[in-house]
Amino acid sequence: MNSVSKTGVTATAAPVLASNITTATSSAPLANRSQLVTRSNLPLTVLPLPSGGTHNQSVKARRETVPRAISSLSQTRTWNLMIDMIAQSGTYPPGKPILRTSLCKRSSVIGFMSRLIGLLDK
Amino acid sequence: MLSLWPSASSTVPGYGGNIADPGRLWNALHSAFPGNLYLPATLCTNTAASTSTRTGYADNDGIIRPADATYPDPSVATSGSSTPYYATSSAASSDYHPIILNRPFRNVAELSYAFRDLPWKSLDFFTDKSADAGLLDVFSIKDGPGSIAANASFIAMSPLPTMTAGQINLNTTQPAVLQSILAGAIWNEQCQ
Repeated sequence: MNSVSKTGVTATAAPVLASNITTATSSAPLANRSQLVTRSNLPLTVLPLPSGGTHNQSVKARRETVPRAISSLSQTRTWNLMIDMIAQSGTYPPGKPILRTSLCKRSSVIGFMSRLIGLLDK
Repeated sequence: MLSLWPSASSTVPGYGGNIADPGRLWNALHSAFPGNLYLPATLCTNTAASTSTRTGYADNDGIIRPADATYPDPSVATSGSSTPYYATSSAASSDYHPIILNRPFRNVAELSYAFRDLPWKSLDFFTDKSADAGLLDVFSIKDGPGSIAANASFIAMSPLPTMTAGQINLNTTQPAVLQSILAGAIWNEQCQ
């Protein structure tokens, strides 16, 4: 395995790494990206040292997987905006204001589409 | 042949130990280490100050910063086995070899592949004692597009974009956001 597992509950799986980061930053947000490395004990909290024989948590180049993945895709001044969009299809009686009508012949929710948008100030 | 390591492991031969006759070359060096003990291989861990079983040093600010092989593999008890010196047939010693990045940077943290100009140290983005992490805040791989002249010569870089999509909040409370980025990230540039 040469990449981070998309699923799983081991210490090297993406869901666990992500959860470790959010847990660590929930009470004390990071002020900048470098704190992902320099905050006391955070690197070992995100990716604990192994108790078995795996090397993925011991070798420097592999321990730096988290900052490599995140460093250029994140910043602490970013707002994440979650947009839920509901699309509706159908026809409306003539002369009815669209936004106030309740007499649709057919109404169906096509689906939800959520998208993360990063808004940067610079 | 003296071993680089205190345990005199036969798999990692080299020079080290008690320097009985330091000579001129070692005069300045050995005086910094107690009892003339100089174990240069242990510099690849640099976990603590020098003792009779290891050689370590602090930076000018007094902080002992770990070297690249500071975290040993707990499955192997032999001294030096979890370092670049581990060269047995069963061990993946290449795991600890430096990575030569023969391509452009793909992210800022790949700066950690650069040699630190200190023994067994590359730029440190993996310990909280890092003196290099500030580079993550000042470097970027998202420069504006370059302006190219008609004769294909480079003129200048365009200004940085004022708005960029696809960035995430490092302090996000949604693990799924970070999970989507971490999933599939490569552990290193080598085959395992």
